[in-house]
Amino acid sequence: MRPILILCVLLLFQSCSWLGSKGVILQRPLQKPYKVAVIIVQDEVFESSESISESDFFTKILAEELSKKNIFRYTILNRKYSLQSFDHFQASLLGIELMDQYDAYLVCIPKRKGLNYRIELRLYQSNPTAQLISVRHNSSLGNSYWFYQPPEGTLMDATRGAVDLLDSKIKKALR
Amino acid sequence: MIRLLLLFSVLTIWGISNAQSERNDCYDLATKALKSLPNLYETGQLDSLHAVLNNWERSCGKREITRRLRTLLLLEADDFIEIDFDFTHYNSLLGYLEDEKFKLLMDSVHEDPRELYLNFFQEPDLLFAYTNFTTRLAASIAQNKGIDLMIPSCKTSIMLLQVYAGYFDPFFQSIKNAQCNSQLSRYYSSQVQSIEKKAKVDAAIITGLWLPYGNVAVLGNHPSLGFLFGWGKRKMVYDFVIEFRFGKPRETYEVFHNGSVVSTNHYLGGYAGFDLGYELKNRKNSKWYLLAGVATDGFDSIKADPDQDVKTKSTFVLNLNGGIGWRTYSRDGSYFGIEARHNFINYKNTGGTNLDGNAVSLRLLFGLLKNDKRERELSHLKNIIP
Repeated sequence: MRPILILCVLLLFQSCSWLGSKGVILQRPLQKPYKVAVIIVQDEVFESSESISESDFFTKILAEELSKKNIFRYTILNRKYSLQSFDHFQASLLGIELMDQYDAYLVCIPKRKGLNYRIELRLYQSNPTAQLISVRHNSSLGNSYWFYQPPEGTLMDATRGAVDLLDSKIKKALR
Repeated sequence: MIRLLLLFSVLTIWGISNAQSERNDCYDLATKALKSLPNLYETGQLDSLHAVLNNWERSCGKREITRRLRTLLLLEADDFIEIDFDFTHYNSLLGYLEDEKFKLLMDSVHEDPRELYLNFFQEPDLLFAYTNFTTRLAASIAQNKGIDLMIPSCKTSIMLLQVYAGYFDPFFQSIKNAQCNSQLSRYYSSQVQSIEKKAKVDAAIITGLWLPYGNVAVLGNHPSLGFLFGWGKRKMVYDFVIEFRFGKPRETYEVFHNGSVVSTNHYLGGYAGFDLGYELKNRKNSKWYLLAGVATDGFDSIKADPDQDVKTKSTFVLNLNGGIGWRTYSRDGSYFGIEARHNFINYKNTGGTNLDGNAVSLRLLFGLLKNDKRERELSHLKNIIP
């Protein structure tokens, strides 16, 4: 009876939202960012996929979710960064480059894994450059899919999960 | 065979090239129509305008872009009939609203929205110029008819003018107004209802206490652990439940096994069945439920021992139960719940200790009641009509 019980509990946990979302506040107390630059960093799979361009679709969903939450004023920068060349050094350089116009910048990293997505959001302060918050949401573990979901659906859920978590982490860090 | 294959290849290539040329024709036609329609209207050549629209629809099918102009022309001529406004038209109106809101949002938050639009729309400049034309046309129709577009209205014709002229806020108020009996409001509320009535998945881990009374109290109180899996729809929850009960019995009891009466202090209980819950009261995030369940209930009284050639002795009965439950839900659909049930069991233990009696069970639930698709569809609709 015991192995059946353990198996059932594991199956149940497989779809629990708290397994799919992770967030860390790296600096506290946080100063509320007022003007944020949003930068989208893509991996090759994400860039090369078909349809309306997942990257553009992601831009649309991200803008809708950020506006709905009204966390901060933001501008989506029209730049493409490749995940392969984007490291901590590159992130710091961005801070120096953006510090005159923006007091923070949000690096968004969407990754596709099969039909699911993992969206990572990193909030940096630009002057001096420092990472403030990091959150990520994985639709395969963070959402309960009992039936097939199209990739547009999982991308929407993953983005919404990540933005929700970012919002709650910012509120927590401001307290 | 080779000839057949050749013929098939030729036909396939011909089919593909035909479809390709149809697409190209359609694209050329749409581009020309988008350029000419505003001019034809402004110069009063309505016959030519209708001919272009007809030709466009014949070649490319009905689209939001053609429906929009046709609707405005009907509204201008007072020929609009509400009953002709069907669900397809409603969907294309939502599509138009979504595009407009997307454009408004991107214009305000994107560094270079034009480049983004190139990826979303074919010929965005032509499309936006055409939309400017229809927006002006809608505003002028309202002005000529003395309609104040700032005031919410329950008339579909005015609501359409509000959308097409860019007066979104009064339109949103009207379409969400349950008192409005317009075609548009009905489509909207039926769409919301059809999304809301979608079932949610219910899954939870259960822990609790099993408290028998009467003769069966000899088995003692036991902690329980299990899980449930089911679905929730409107006010009901339906769950398949499996629960195990552990621990030693309160005192040694007797069972009839392999032709003789045996004393035992072994106990491993179980419950497998189907539970129902009906939502009695809903207050903020917490809900009260009336509960009922039917299950197979039982326990092992003798443990199997292959060395001694002893087989497991299990007792099963039908368990009918009822009770009351409370759950408090968080925004993400996870919940914590408490349940109290009275279980009618009356174990039959022929030849052994009398185990008549029933039991009360208390449960704590940690679970999730949600449907991501449902939430996503609602959120998407809320993005369009906030």
